[in-house]
Amino acid sequence: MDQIEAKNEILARIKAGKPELHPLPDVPMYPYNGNAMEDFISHLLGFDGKAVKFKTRGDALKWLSAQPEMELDKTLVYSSAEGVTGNVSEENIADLHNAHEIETCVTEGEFGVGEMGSIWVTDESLRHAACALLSRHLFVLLDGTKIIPGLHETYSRINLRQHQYGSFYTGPSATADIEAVHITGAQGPLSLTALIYNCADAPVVPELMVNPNADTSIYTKSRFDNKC
Amino acid sequence: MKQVNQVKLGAEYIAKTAHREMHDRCLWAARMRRDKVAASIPEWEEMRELASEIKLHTLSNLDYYLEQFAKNAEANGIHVHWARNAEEHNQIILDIFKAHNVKVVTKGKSMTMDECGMREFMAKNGIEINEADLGERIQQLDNQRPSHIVMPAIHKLRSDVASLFARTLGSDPKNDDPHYLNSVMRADMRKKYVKVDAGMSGANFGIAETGGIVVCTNEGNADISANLPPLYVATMGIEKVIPRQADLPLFIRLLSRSALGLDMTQYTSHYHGPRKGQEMHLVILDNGRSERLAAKEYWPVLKCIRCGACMNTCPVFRRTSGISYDAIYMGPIGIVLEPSYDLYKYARLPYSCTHCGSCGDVCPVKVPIPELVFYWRSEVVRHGYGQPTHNIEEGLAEPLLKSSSNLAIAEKLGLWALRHIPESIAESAVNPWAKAHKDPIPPEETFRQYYNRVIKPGEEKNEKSDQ
Repeated sequence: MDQIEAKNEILARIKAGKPELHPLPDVPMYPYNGNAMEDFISHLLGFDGKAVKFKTRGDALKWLSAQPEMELDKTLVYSSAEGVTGNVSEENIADLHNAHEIETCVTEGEFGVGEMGSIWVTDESLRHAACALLSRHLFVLLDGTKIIPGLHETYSRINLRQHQYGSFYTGPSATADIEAVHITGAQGPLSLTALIYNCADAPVVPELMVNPNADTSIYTKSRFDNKC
Repeated sequence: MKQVNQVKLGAEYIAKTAHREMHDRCLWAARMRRDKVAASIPEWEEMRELASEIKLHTLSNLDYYLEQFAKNAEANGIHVHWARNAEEHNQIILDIFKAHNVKVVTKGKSMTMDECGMREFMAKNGIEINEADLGERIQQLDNQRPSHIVMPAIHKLRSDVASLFARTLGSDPKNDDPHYLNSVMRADMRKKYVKVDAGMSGANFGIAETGGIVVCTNEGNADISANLPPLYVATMGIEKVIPRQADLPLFIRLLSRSALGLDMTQYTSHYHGPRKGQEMHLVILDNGRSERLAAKEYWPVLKCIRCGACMNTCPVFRRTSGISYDAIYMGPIGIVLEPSYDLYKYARLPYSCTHCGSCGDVCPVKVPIPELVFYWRSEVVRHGYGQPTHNIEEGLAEPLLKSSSNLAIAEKLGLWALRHIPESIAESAVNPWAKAHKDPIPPEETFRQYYNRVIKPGEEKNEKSDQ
């Protein structure tokens, strides 16, 4: 098929028929007037995500290493986060189809968004997005000083062209396709936990914050190879 | 070919009480959530206006932005293809799949690909496309079209899904818990992901300035399809392009809030090229869009960002379900889109409207759906495709509304008819409006008579005192 011909014909049709030029307005940087950190956490919890605040990154790594999802002799852990060692090597996932075996993925978020509870992740921070997407439990380390109040400002600090893949992850994978019943754990991770460090007001004993109304009814039976 | 009779198909759904009540309740809940979240954002109405203006601008300079988009996308390493119609679209993708010896495909939801009949075409050519969105997969397994743009199986009860999955996926027919049904789907999809050769998705936005696409989902299915296999193919209608990165947050802030009343889609993903070792293809599709752009009063329909807010609010759609439109696009946007694909076949759709105007009020980009309904009704009658009653309606409207004295006579005639035509005739099949409700009790006088007697003298008095 001649692609040049198709392209030229489509563009010619548009040129011939398009309406009179309308002006292009500027999009103002609408501010978000909430508390970035508080609202980030409450929105993330609203999407069934979880969050823990820490004073330092070191505290976050220490807490993480004590979690059952990180027992390296029992579970497969992939990490693209600095200072966190997993047991899935690059060789293991040279074929990404193997990524479905990963139980836990640990990665870095670049920004948080207060307005939505979203975390900006990229090909750079994830290394392999497939590992994050196919894992059952996703932990995201996030610098608390990098939580931006509104979405307009967040986009102004991102250069989309620099990233082959960049995404706002907002809670774990979810669906409401059957009678609009909200279900956590559709195709991707069953849980997403934000580990927020550099929080001056973090409690001495880390506290896992969860939505009391979150959907936790994930079926353990009938999982593919007991492993999805 | 027969015309689609939405009234008849809709009546079948209305008769299924449990289905209708669930459907109405779920969609209205989405509408209420939308209202609540919209009210919490002071600039909401201003954002709708801006989003509309940005779309109008882009469409009025679409050739420029498409060229810019394609140039930048190619510079990012994306293979860009151009398809004039559905056939070309499908052939382009088949050729790509053949060159890569593709057998197993997983796919994110795409109305544009549905419009091209892509899945059916691939099946004929021996390539199995697995829908990876739960609702879309349900519809695929049931050999039925999606009934809603963002909730494809919302017209089905959980028991329908339970028996469908039992039949097609071997699940427990007695267990209709949606959580269980989701786990059945999840386990089945994992079997596909393990051997997937290529992933597919649509595109919510294309950014001309950066040459990338944005794909929004809640399940993460499109993300898995794009990030796992060595080949990723996406389709984008020509109208999906926006000029700048700075325009994007405006649309993202409107999209999911309008669709489901949620602040964000769980996965709001931006693709600016293939990952290392992967090939990424993007098909830019016209398929009648450039013709729509050239239609003088109709072209603003291309502003649509496919959120589904118009469906959630529509009193007709909520009670009749998307299946009753027997078309790719359904609900308010469907009744003004489908006639542009096939005017004869969909000539009756623009009449599935009560003129409440709600769709226009909630549309995040202000597509003037209520006005476009009238545009199509005129077109239908002009082409001679209308029902006899529609032709009479259209024929009478002009002389009636042309002068106030004609209208005044008609008002009196109407009141006379209401008083004197016996119920046996007024509430018979001749008058479809009386089907589910009785005629009102005739008032003493017409509104015009009341206005002239009571309100007008007072206003004249006020005017005099102002002077």
